[in-house]
Amino acid sequence: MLQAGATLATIKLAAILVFLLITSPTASNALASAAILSGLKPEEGPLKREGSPE
Amino acid sequence: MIILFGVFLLTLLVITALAIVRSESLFAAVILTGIFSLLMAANFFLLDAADVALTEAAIGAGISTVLFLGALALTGERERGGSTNRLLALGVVTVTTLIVIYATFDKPRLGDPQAPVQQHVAPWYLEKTSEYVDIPNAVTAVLGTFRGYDTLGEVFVVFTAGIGVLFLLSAGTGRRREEPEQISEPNLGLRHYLVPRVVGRMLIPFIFLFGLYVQFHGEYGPGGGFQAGAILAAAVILYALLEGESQALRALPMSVLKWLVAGGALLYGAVGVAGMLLGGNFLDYSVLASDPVTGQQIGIILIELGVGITVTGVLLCVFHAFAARGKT
Repeated sequence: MLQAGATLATIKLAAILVFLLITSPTASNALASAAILSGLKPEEGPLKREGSPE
Repeated sequence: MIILFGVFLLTLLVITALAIVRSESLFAAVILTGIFSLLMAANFFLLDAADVALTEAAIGAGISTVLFLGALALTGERERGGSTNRLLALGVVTVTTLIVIYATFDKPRLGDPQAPVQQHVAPWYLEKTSEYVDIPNAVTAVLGTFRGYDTLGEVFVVFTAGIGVLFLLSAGTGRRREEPEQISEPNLGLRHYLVPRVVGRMLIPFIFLFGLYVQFHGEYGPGGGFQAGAILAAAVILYALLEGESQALRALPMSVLKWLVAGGALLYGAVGVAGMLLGGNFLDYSVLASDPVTGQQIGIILIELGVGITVTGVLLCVFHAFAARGKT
């Protein structure tokens, strides 16, 4: 992407990268929140209190 | 390399299809259908059909999944145990599969230049696009100009589908929806979820921008009214999910949506009638400007706008119909 020089495609790829960078953690967060809300609790780790979405 | 990738994608498609059939939970099946559509879009892209890939990704993987989930919210989440004759179903499926496999023996090889589909009108379209329409994307030229009647038919199919869903789903609930039932409204939507809400709000303007880009860039790259309509509808649906459906209805009321549904189809038809009034044939855009090529380009932009408006309106109407049904 960087070796090909700055073209319109580079800008589009960069935009897609930024989009993925923002959306995939959000999707994971939403997925985890939904899992906790529906009763699934993470079993390991020190966190033992009732799960809240955040 | 491309063949390897194609085989890989097709294998994934088969696995996904089997998983959809085997899955007992309808919720999982709906999500798998979305994955299936996304794989299909990648497949289309591999076959150099970027326009179809964009449509499949936007409508198949995006909007359909949301509408299926809306339908699931109205029904149950589990599949009801089938008491039908399994042997009969197995026999029907086997026979159909064998017939389809037998039919593929007559099919020309993929990309064969001697195939009938490459022989008749396709070369003419490709040759004449630059002369008659002068836009780089031949798909849009075929869709908008050479096959304008077909696209008009498709728009009316979408229009009819929207009207049908509205008739079916708002039967008997029309009066109740008018009553002020705002008691539980603040709990709707994803208001309590900080991260999706912030990110969603940040993304919605860009999704709108991308939708408009796809709409008006359809002459130069993959895109057009159908894809843009789906993307714009997805932006509004995302807004409805984040802020609650009533907020989305406040921004785009049902009356406006109904006008959009009818207005897009009307705009398409009106362009055709305008061609007739100016002395040409129905849907002949050459007479719209003094220069026939410019006239064609104006016509394509107008009808793509009509398509986009209708698709946006219909998808949002269907979404709101599902959502309103679930409330009562």
